[in-house]
Parts: sequence; structure tokens; C-alpha cells
Amino acid sequence: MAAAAGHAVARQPIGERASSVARRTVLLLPALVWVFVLVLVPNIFLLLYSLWQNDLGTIVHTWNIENYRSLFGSSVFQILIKRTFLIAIASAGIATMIGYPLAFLVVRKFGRFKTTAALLILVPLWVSYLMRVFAWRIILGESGVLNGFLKSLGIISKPSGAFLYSTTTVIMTLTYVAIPYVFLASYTALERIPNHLYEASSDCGASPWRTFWSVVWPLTRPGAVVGFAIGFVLAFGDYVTPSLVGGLSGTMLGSIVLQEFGTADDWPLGAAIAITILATGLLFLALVSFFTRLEAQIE
Amino acid sequence: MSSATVTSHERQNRETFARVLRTLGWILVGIAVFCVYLFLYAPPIVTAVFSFNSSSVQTLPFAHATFGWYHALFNDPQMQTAIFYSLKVAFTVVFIGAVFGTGFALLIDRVAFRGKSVFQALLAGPLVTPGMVLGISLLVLFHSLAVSPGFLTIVVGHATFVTPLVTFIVLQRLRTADPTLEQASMDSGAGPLRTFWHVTLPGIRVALIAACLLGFTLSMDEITVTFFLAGIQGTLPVYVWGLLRFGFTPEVNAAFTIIGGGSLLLIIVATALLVGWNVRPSQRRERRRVAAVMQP
Repeated sequence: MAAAAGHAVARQPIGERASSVARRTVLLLPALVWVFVLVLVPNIFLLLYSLWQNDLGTIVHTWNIENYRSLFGSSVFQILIKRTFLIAIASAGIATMIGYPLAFLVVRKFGRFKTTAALLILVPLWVSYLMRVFAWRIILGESGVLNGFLKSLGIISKPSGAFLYSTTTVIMTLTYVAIPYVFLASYTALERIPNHLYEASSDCGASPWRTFWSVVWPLTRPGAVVGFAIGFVLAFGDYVTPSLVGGLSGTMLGSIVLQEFGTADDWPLGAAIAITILATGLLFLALVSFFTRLEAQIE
Repeated sequence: MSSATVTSHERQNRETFARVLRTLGWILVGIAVFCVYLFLYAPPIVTAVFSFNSSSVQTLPFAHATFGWYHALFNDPQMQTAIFYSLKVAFTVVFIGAVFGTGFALLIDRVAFRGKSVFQALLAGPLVTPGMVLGISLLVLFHSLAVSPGFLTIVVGHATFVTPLVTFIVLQRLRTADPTLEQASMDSGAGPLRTFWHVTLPGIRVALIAACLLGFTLSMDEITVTFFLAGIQGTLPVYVWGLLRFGFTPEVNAAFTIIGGGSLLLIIVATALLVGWNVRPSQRRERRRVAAVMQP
């Protein structure tokens, strides 16, 4: 890249070279304004809001960490943050346990149907998120498809309300949402492993099982981790899924942020929760990427 | 009977047993894979099926098939307004994303400057932050600047994540492009603008179109950010979000089925482009042009 830039400079007539600093500034300006105004400033404002106070609907500009103190002192918040964390870990984990082996099978066993099979996994991503979540309500609801099916088989005698509005439903729906992302990340990692690595390993006498754990997994683990991390972040900050299929026992942190910015009208407190979500997510990602650094590389 | 024949018999038995076990294992794996696909496709299929169900209650058994909800959809002015509003937002966002996204990609690829990796990380930020955090961080910014929520705020909100998407897809393509082509163009006396139009742009065209289609579907579909930034008139997902909570009708299923089908069509077009249907005619033209130059 440096070489390309060097060419760009060398190509210019000598007279223009003096103005290259000015030209560079003009080129960089939109980019700087963009990240400053649309990325940095909003997050700074969010942080500032979380340090201000709400007083009967008006915002008092006094600086303290009262919002955070009252949050972490509240038992409801503690329960919610724990639950949100567990739900996000569980759904991202299950999605990884489904998505990664599936990607492995598709890459290794599907032969010429490989690309088609992979595209078919990704297609649901382009169906509206809202609809994908809402459809689970149609499927799992008391008068839903699943109940109707089970009843017609005679497995249950009357419709069960147990399928919807629970933590399990939220985990299942978020797993559903995360699977294509985990699959995509794992698939791209697995696809880059050349066939001769498998052959070399098996020529050295390794069983397929051994080949997987000593060769394939160390090389593709980062892909699986990226997928897991995407799933985690998606789930951790979600409010659509808990409010559509979660009911009361499936309430997550996102749901109360929505409340603080809506009916409760306490923006500073909502901002504090949002900052907590952001910080937890970043911390988690940093930890995950620290513990799963790439050990080996395909040259 | 000698002991040798017994062991060979046993071994044969064991091998048969192992083979049966392996076949059984693969059948189980096959069933599991099928179940995953079923799991992934159940929601869209259920939605599409119920958009043709005449009963307004979303339940089995299926009443009789009808196009009634599609008919109702086309006669529902509010739904129509929401759909057209979403389309307007998506087109604007894709235009902004394409212009700035390509510009930023060229900047990252061609210009050496300090803090480039920081710039890339910050640019990508909105792609990876939870939608809710992105939404309210922009909301408090707009609120502090006294910008009332509406078309502008939604477009800005979507542009924050569509633009980096375009940037990184186009960047991927630029990295594998041949820089000598542009140098040749400049050496032949073409200015930077002409070189961009005739050499650089055709080189990244396919990646750019694919990125635009992807950005378009993302914008049409976005709810978590948009929810906080929409004014009185919401985009389709925001309008539907309201309906889902108060007064759902299967019209929503019909709308989603149409949009899902439309998205699918866009994706097929994008894939076809990437596979290279439209590369060939231009290559053929190129070859003809080269041949014409070489002949005299």
C-alpha cells in the first residue's frame, strides 16, 4: 500500500507536489468528519448522559455516578444482567455447537453441493429479522402450529402454553438468529484448509478424530470464535426477541433500556444501562480474543 | 472346527457390525442436518403459508386458502406509506453508502496516512455495536443538537452501518486488483477522473453492486436502530413492530412474504453477478477492442 502511495506521488508533476499536503487534507477530511461525528461524538454523548441525572423528566447536568450506583445496588438489575449474560452465552454457545459441525460437514462431505448448501443456510438472514422472531410466536403459541401438530398426533390432549414466553424460548430464538452467522464464520475458516493437510495427517496414521483435533480445530478455532462472538453481541443487546417471545421471565437488559427511553422516560438511567451493555460486550470480546489467539497459520 | 476359522468368522462379524454402525451413524448425521435446515426454514415457511390462510387467527387447522390478505395489503394506505417510506430510506442510504463507502475504500487502499488502522476500527464500529446502543447513542446526539426525528435521522442511522459494509466489501476487491492497469491509464494521458470512471470503477463494479444489494436489504429490514430514530412516520419494520403489539393482522405475513421474496430475488441477482454472468460481455468487448488496436 505504501508502494501504491509512493507511485501516486511519483506520478505527479513536480509543480503539484508542493500542494500534496493540502490535497491530502482535503482527501482525509470527509473521512475524519464521518468517524468523528457519527461514531465518536454519539458515544461520548451517551457516556455524558449516563453521568447526568433525571429529575422529573428534565435532565440535570450534574456529574456523578449515581445512575451506576443505583443500578448495581438494585437486585432487579443484578438478576437481569446475570440472566442476559447467561442467555447470550447459552444461545451463542448452542449456535456454535450446531453451526460449526454443520459447516464442517458441508465443507467436507457435500461435494459439489457445497456452495448451494452453504447459501441455503444464509438465505434466512435476508428474511426480515422481525418476521423471523415473530414467526416463532405463530409456531410455539398456545394455538400455534406446534401445539396443533402435537394434538393431531395425540401426544398432548390440550394445547400447552409452555412453549412460549420463557427463558428457553428466548434462548432458542436467539440461537436461531445466530446459527447463520456462526456457520458463515466457521465455513470461511474451514474452506481455507487445503485438502492435502487432511491427507498428510491421515498418511501419518492419524485417525479422522485425531486429524480434526490436532489439525483442523487449531486452524479454524478463530473462525468459530468470531461466529460465537457475533452471536453473543447480537443476543446481549437485543430487545426485539425478549419482548416478542420472552414474556416476563424472558426479560433482558435491552427490554429495560427500551422502557427507560419510552414510558419510564429516564434517559440518563437508560444511557447508563446501554453503557454497561457496551462495556460488558467489549470486555467479553477482548477476553475471548485474548484466550483464543491463533496458534498456527495456513501459509 | 479349528480355532483359526472361528476368529476369522468373528472378525467378519465384527466388521459387518462396524459397517452397520457407521451407516447408522451417517443416517443419524443426515437426519440432524435435515433438522437444522428445517429449523432455519420453519419461520419463513410458516409466515408464507399463513399469508394465504383465510382465518385472521394464526392457528391450525388451516382454514381455506385466500389471496385476501394480499388484497387487503394493497388497499391499506398506512402499510403502503410505510413500504414506500422504507424504500425511499433504503435507496437514499444505499446511494450515500455507495459514494462514501467506495471513497473510504479508495482512501484506505491508496492513501498512506497516520492512524489508518484506528480509522478503520472506528468506521467499522457501528457494524459491531449492538443496534440498540447505536440507536440511542445517535438519539441522544440528535436530541442534543435539536434535530427532530424523521427521514434525516433514520438515513444517518442506517448510513453508519451500510457505509462501512460497502467500504470493506469494495476494499476486499481493491486489494486483489492490479494497480498497473491504473498506471497504464494515467500513462496514456487519462486524468484521475477518467481513470476512475473507465478503469477503477469497472474493476470494482461487481463488488459494489453486491454490497449495495446487501446494504439495501439490511436497510429495508432494520428495526433496532430505526426504532429510536423514527419520527411519526416509521419504516415498514417499525410500523409492523407497532402492529405486532397492538392489533396484528395476517396482512403483515403478506407484506413480509413479498419483501422476503423480493430480497431473495436481489440475492439471486447479486450471486449471479458475482459468479460472473455480466463479466463476460465486457471481456468480450475488451478483447474485440484489443484485437482492433492490434490489427493495423
